[in-house]
Amino acid sequence: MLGSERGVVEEWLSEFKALPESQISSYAATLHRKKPLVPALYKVIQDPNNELLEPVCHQLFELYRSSEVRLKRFTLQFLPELIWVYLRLTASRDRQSNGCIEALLLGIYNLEIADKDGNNKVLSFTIPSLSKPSIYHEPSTIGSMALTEGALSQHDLIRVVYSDLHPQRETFTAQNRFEVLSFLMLCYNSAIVYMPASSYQSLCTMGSRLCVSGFPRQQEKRWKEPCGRVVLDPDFMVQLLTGVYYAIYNGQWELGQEVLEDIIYRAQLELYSQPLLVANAMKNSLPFDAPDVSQEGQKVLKVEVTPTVPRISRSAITTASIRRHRWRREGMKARKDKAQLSISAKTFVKKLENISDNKAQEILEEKKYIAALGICVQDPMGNGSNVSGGDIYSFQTPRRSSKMAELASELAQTPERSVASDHSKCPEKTAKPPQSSKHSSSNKVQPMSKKKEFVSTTPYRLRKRLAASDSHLESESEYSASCSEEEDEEDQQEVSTVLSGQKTSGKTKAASTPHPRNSLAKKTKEEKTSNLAEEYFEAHSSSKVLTSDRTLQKLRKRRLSQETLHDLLKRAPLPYAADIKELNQQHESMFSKWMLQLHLGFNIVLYGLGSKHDLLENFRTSLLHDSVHLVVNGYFPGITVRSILNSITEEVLDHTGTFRSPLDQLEFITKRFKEDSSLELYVLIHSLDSQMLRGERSQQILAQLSSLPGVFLIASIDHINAPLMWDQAKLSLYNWLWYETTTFSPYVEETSYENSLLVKQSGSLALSSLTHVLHSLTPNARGIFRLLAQYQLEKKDNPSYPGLSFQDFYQQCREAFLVNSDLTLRAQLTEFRDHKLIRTKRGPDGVEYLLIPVDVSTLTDFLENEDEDV
Amino acid sequence: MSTCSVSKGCFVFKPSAKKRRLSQRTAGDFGNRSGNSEDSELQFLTCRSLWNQIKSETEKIQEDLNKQLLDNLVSFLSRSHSEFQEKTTEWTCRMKFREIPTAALVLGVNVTDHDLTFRSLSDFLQNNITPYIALLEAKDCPGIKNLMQKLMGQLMNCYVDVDSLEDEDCVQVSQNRTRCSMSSLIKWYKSVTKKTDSETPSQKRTSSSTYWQSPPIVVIFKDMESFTTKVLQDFIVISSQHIDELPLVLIFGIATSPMIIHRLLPHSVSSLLCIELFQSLSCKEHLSTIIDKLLLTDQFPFKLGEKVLQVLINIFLYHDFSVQNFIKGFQLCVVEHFFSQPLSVLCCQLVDLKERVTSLSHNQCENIRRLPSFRRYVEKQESGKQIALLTTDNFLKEETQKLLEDLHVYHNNYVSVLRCLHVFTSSLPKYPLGKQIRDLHCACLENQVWETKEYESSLQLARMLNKSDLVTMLQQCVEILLSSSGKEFDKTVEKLKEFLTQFQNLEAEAFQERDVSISSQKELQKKTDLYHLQKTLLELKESRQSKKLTKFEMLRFEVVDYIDSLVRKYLVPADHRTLHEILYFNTATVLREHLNAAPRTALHTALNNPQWYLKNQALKCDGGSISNKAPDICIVYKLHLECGRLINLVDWLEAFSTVVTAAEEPNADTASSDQVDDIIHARFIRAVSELELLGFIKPSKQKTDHVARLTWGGC
Repeated sequence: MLGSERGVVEEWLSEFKALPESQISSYAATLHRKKPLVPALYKVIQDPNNELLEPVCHQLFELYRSSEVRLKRFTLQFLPELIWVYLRLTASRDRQSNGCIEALLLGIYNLEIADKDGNNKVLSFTIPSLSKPSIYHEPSTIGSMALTEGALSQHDLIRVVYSDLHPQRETFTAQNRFEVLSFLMLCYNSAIVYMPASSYQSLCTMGSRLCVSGFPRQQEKRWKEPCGRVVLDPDFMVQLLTGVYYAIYNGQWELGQEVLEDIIYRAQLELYSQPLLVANAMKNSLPFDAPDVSQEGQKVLKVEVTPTVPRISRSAITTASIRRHRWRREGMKARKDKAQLSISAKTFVKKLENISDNKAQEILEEKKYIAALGICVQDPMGNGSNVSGGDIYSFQTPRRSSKMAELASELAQTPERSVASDHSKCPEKTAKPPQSSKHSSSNKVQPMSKKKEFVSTTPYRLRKRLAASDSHLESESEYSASCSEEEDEEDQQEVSTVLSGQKTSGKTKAASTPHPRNSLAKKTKEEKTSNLAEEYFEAHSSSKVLTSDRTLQKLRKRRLSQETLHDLLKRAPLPYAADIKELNQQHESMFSKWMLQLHLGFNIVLYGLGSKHDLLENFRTSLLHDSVHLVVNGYFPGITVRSILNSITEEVLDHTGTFRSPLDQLEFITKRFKEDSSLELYVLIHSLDSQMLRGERSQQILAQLSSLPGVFLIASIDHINAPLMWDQAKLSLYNWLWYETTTFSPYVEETSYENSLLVKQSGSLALSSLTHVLHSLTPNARGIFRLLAQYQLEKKDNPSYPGLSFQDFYQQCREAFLVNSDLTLRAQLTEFRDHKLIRTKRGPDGVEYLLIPVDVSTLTDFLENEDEDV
Repeated sequence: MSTCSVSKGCFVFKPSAKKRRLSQRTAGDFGNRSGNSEDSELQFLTCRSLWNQIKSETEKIQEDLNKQLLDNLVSFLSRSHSEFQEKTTEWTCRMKFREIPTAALVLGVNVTDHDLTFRSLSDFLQNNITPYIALLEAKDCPGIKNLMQKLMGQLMNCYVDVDSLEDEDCVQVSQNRTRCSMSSLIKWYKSVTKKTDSETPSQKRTSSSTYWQSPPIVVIFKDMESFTTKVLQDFIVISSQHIDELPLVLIFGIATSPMIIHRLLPHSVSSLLCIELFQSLSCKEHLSTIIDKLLLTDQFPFKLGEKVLQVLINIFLYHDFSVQNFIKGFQLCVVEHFFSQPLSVLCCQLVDLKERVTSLSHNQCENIRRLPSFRRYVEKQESGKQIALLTTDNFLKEETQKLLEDLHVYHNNYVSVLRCLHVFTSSLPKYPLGKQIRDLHCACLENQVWETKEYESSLQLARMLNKSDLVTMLQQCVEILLSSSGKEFDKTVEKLKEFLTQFQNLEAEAFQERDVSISSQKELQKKTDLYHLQKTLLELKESRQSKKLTKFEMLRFEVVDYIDSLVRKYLVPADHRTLHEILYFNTATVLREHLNAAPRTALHTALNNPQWYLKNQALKCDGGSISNKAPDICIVYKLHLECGRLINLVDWLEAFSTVVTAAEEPNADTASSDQVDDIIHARFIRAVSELELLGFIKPSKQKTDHVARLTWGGC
């Protein structure tokens, strides 16, 4: 960079700072007269290592932010160059040096998305309707009204194109980059008439460089700057084309045509239909030679073809668009009103909460609120009642209706009564199991139903709830103790019965409570069958759950480990072993038939209760011993389609190669099986409907595999909804024959993989893998891991713990003398990551967080073990 | 080698022993079943040859059905790019060419059957019009790039198929997958067509001579509805840019209705297409043809019984509309029949029958004697013959042969008469016996059709047919009977022809009848009083009843009665015939079980009603509920039905242990402790995790130690 240019730029930088507010407009008028300034600025921008770049960017942003529109345009003219430099640097992964340009672009974007009042701008454009008069035409002159508005709207010719609401952006990410850039190009295009020729030129060069860089076509170009491929977005390309279109007719005839060709080339390669369409239209409408550009300063063509230019939306105001505008504003207003309403409702809720503390004497006051706010009351009441059961009770009843006031005295007795029942209930509950079992000893057939009445309280709650009006359902605290909830329930029951108009005295009701409850339950049971659907929605209507709050913690041994469970079950004899054996023998007699049907092109699927693992094993050992077969344990947690296909290609077909995708692999298998008709493969899949295999893609691949002539599939399904996995197409590929094989044998294998409920997650597998891997590492690495584990354990109570940020971790490691640079730490982390010992994720602020993906207990065990070792 | 492992889910077993041939193995399977293994080989061979015959027959039928459609398509294709052939450069022509010629093929909802149609379509086109055909499916084309990749791959492959000589350049293109674009496709097309152009003088391959100089590229979208709109739109827009360089033709396979094109594509895109609609045969007609050609024919000895046919038709009508599945069911019937019926050796063509019957073993003879229909037959014979049939194998064999031949003849006659009857019933109002011949067929197979009410009413209706209809029907019947192979119908045909001539003679006498009617009309017109009118009408009615029938009416009665007699004679249900078990397959339960299974019901029965499967006295209990001795999972299931959306595990466990302890040790005092026995706890855990595996519950985070119930209305 020449010294003189540097001087010009520096002078420009200092000049504006000293400028008083009043002289800005005159300064703006003179700015374009400084001839050497613009080329010098271009030079600065093009050189990412220039130390002037940052002040220049800052200065450009200042200019853009000023109220003077000419200063804004001065900044805008550099936009193409800025975008090019920015995208080039992004593509070259040299992120560090484009920070100021990125900031400038984002600044302009964030300024542009909002209007003066700070609201989001909505750019809209209505295509004038032919049937409505506008400044362009008079409908009566068209004559035939075949093109009515209705007819046109069917062909979506009348449409308001909104440039939709753009959110504010803090950083560039891969997702939003082109959204921002397209919008910036749109801003540029809307001011393109005012741009100087140099800006058009830079626009054209930017376009062709962006499109061609990294592609073979670059070789034909004069410029030879090395640059990687730049990812482009179709919308951005369309915006680019809009600008280029203007430039072609305004002095950049040759450059413009070149960039047009380049864009077509790129769009063809990327298969972007929209830019292709626009570019081809432009190309086909080009005149044979350049338009006359001799008169300097006269703009030949106004950009009116593109709907996205806001200038047009200003000029093309038709009645329809006005109507739409008005409507929209009104809509906004209405929305605001609604918001205010909701705010007032919220404040009301707050007040209500205060009231509830102050209890009954303020009820009258509260009633006034109710009267004042009418319908709004009902909802906030539910939300606001974060109070104990007793409060709700005394609080709710007067609210329900004024005529219920007379019942108040009656209801006042209920606390006593409920306390009494409370006492009687709690001991009863603990004593329940013995009672019922003793009872059952006398009467053997009955115990089922007896027990249900005592122990399984859940159904009654449900039923009671069904009977009770649901207005007070949500007013129950979720984690109240079991007994208090009981009492609560009782009260509510009472309320509901009272409300339903039974004006019996409280005492008689207290005495007769058990009976109505039972009869109620019976009645609901009768009704139950008739309206299952209603019941379903009833049960799912609220998020509240009415079950007792007892937890397994109260039991002595809440969780058993897998081994103890196994041992215990071994001791328990399997009932009906003889019958089950007989059942199995029945199924086994079908083996030869299965074989035959497999050979005839059918595949066999087994369903029914009980594990079919042993049955299939028997089938395998008895009939398949001398043929090639593949057994797939679908219930194995790590099973994937890929592993199934791999074992076919690698072990059955002896192929040593890798495949790009499962589809390729399947294609290969298909080819091999079609070529060689002597190839035969029996595939046995236990639990075809397991978690890992039930996906649509997996099933598709397996179905295709099973449809091969040499592949015989026999599979079992267990899940009740398993047949839903298959649509017609898959079913026809599978060509199933269904066999019911109810075996009643326990699902030993299928539930053995530490994924079942109630079984203690011993995590022994994860633990042993942890220790094994760590033993092979250096002491320093182990220390690093320990550090992370300890930190994670300290934070175990925080459920939203995101992990340890890398910087903090580095700091800690340094303090412990474990690493000396962040590079060493990163190297260690890579090692951990490879062994899946840690997981990294980026937080919302872009910081890297490290996490050990094992549960707390395993981690504790691990640390204890480590301590022993050391 | 065990297949249980904690590190691996797939196990391959490769025996070193030499594999046996497939057919032998299958024959072995046939023989493996209990008893009656002597004829298994023969049985298997018969089965296979029969099935192969049926298969080829169905394929032929389908080809014939598609022929019309294919012809139309081919003519469309040849029209679509005729201008392109002439290489006109006129502007209007070029504008017209912006539109891509498109055929919308409405195929119906049975998507799985389409594969066959498309395969025959592409074969047909390949033979007649163009070697360049690409078949695209939605599942392969999630994006426009995948679509282009697939398209180019297929096109270049067919190029390789046509000309396997020098294909280095195109192989190179297909390897470089990232460079799939329209321009490379055009380049490829140009090079290909140029090559064929230059080769045409020295014609080596005859196949290419059938193509034009620049054959169109046909792109078939098999399932248009499932394509992403974006992909379709992009593809259409891009390819319309190049339509003047690349003669592209699109074919959309549509399952629903042609409107879907406009719903999927906006106006701006669909205006780039020049769409012509083609309708394929509806699947119901397709099925009718299949039934007509497979079942109502004497070509195959194997026949379907009524129930089985009903099951197959129901699956078709209520489940899938898929002819393929119907044929699959038919195949299963064949296999099942030959597998389960030892006497199915005799289910063969008449020519082989004698030989097979004479070579029957004693065992097989016993099998014949055990057949219920044969037993019924024996009981009707006089005692001497009874003894001979039951004791002498040779006599039995002769008799069997005769009976089987009778059965074949019966079937032939049955079909012919059935068709005649269908001619009559299919034109009656409201179709009391069904519109389709398959309905009639089922009705006739089910029981003696002349005893049904529907038959009664249809005869009544037939007695009211007018003359012209009657005459045309009779003529149709004559044609049917003449074309049938049965020889018994000579007399019948003569009789029918006689009826026809009688009808012609009636012409002259028609006037008289008209006179009568006119006179009565006049009488009616005279009196306008309501009471009198009613009276006269009543009188008229009486007089008409008592009145002597006209000649036409008498003749009509005669015809209908004759048809009725034919029906009574020939349309006897098959299971009334002796030895029908050999030719007719009628175990519908097997079919329903294997084709139309209900896994949920099975699970439900097993859980609710375990004694259905486990024949144990202990499980018996009254009132339909399960006893407390049922397997653990049943008890746990039963308990969970009592709960709402969430189930508290502790409550559940307690309830379970109460039930189980009550069942096991009625008077033990272990229950005094609050804690649950370890073994019971373990059993509970097992049962709950099994329920989870079966999908009845799932763990829930909503509340501690709760599970969510996933089914509703399970009790």
